[in-house]
Amino acid sequence: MKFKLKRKLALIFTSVLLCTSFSACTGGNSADKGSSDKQKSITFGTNQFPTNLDPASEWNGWFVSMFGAGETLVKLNKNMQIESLLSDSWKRVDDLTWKFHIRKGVKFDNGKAVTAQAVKASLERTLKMNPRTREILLIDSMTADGQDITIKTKSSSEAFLSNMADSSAIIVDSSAPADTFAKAPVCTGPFKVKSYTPNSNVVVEKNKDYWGDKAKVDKATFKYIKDDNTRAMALQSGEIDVAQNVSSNNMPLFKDKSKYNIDKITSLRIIMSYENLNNEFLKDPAVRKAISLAVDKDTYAKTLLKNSAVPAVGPFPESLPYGNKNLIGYKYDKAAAAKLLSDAGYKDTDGDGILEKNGKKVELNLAFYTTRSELPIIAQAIQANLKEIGIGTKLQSYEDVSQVLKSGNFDLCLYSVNTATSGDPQSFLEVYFKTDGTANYGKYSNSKVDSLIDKLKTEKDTKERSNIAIQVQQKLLEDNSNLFLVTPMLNLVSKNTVSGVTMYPVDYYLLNNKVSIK
Amino acid sequence: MENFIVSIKKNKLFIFLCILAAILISISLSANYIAPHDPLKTSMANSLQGRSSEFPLGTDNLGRCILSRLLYGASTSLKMTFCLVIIVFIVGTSLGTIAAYFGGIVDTIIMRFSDVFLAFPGIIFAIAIAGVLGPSSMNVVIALAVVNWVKYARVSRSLVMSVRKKDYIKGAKMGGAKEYQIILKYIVPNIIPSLIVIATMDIGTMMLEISSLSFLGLGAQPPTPEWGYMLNEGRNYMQTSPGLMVYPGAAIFITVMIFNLLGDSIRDILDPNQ
Repeated sequence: MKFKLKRKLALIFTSVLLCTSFSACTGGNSADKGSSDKQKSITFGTNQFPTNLDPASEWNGWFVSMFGAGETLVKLNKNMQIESLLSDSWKRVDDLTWKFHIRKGVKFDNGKAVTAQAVKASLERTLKMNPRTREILLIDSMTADGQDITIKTKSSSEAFLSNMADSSAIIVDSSAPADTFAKAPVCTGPFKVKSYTPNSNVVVEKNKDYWGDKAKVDKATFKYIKDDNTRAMALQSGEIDVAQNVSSNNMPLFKDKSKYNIDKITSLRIIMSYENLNNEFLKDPAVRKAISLAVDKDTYAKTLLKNSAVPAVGPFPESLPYGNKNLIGYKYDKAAAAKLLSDAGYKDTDGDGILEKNGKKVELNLAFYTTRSELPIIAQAIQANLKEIGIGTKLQSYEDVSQVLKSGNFDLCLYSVNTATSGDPQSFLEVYFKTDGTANYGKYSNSKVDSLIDKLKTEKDTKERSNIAIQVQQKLLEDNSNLFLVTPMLNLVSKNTVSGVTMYPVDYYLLNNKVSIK
Repeated sequence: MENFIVSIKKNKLFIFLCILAAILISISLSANYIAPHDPLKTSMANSLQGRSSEFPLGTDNLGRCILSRLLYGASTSLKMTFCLVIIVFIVGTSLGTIAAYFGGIVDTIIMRFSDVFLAFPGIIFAIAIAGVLGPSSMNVVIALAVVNWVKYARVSRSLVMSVRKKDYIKGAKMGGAKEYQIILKYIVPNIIPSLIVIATMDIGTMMLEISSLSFLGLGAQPPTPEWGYMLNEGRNYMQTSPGLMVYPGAAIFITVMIFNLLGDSIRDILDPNQ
């Protein structure tokens, strides 16, 4: 009897224990689920990173826009057409005057209302700080009245509206304390900046008072993973959910469609090489033409970059109406290049495979930077190609070439640049090829090109504008002002749990209120 | 001397390693005869090919033969390494000997100077120097020499200190030998064996340091075939064409190991007490 009682007691005891432990388990589970429902977070691996978060400084506005924090008055859609954003309607009063109506009920993420006065103050701040914005917008004066802002430009500019979509014109609360801009600018986007750690990461969180549809994720982290392999591996291991610009050599790792989504788009970028016209050899048009003939861009794009780029003719990609297909460029022809050089009096007298003229070896420095994975590959390929026609090149790799370009201390310099940030050719041509353009680091100068570009300022007819852009490009090709190489494809590889992440031709849009994660 | 030869004969490992090292050196000297292709010749159509009879180890991203690049790389890497070892050996030993023999103010200046160099972590200091001088093979050798001479100076100094007071030196002095004669005839031969051991053991380390600086892009510049730089280039294809990293990595590993083991066995022979 005693024995039985003991057994019963033991049974009761264990069952009680079991019950409590089960309930504890389920309790724990539900708590876990609850928290993941509450906090949806997504992590991006990016290959470029801002030096600070002030939208008005240098190109940093692009990142503020990419991070879903900053918004401009208007935006460019997938077809490079203008859509409304902070401004819901606008009209062109006359050649020089534009009138924007600012959407009602839009608030900065500190709760202040976005009025025309605030927009004016923000734009004025940007114009003061950013020479590039000054150059493309050419704003003369602004007047604010309630929700209407009237902008007068210095000269009639057809590209004005699309230039207003450029991310340097992001509207910020300019009355915020001066030290907040660099770390957490007060903007209007679906996300607001929570923290910024230089060279490491940016965390943004949902803006609960966003004027449009609220964001579908609560938190997004942008990790700066500069190295292509590390970024690809981070995606493989699940450390990040979306990787920006996976390099061509790592693409085969993400072939499995049940696990990854790949979004590819031909960018509006051009990978080109500046040619410093102050260099004694590059001054010679024959040398420049020979170089253009000697680079085998088709192979660069198809074999070396494994079709992650398309060969270029001029600066603008094929997808634009004034793009590559209208131009006559150069076909790879080693023999013609070599003949050109020997006709121009270059000879290899000492038999080392490098040509000489006036006792000087034709040796050029080729600078490039490593944050874009295509550039080191192309640099080596150019070196090999030029060697074949007897031009020696010394490769110089940099983290960032902007200082090198500004100092003019280069012969050739590879550069990847967005050609039509606003869908219009004017600003790119002005900045990069006009005699005193701010990014004309090779010091190319042709009065005909200058006057053609000036024509763009006044020409209204879209067709005629394209025509002018084509003429300018053809001139650039004839003069071999720069070496236009390939148009890279952009890609985003995301885990299949992520949806709503798509690429735009302009690369300053990434996170928005439609992005979600399972 | 006879003892020396006997102990060499006993030490089969030493002979074996000597043969391996000799093979390595002869490969590096005869690279242009045995390499199947020109290591600089690109053929972009053959980019990233696998192993084949034409390209025994495949090709890299610009379609260059990896085997040929490895063979030529052996000569670049070994040349740089031996240059470096010889420079630091001569500079370090002579400074150390001078410091110890003359003592006093000379000693203080040289040794405090070497303390300054010791205060910095070696490879980082070398990176800084190479960075300032600009990337090239020559500058990497200079940068590493600046960092590495200190060890030889200190060792040779302590060795000279220990023989300086020996009777035979006193004898030589009394015999009227000049100072340079004493140093060259009586001191250097007595300290050199230990330093040779250090130098042989250092070949491996130096090679690793040169490769690591080249890997960082500070050393040999493209398109020069050099193992460290090949490793750096191959890094981008680590998952898709691992051969680009594995082969130069293996080459560095094997060479470093051979020279390290060789150094070990030379030490066993010259210095049986240890």
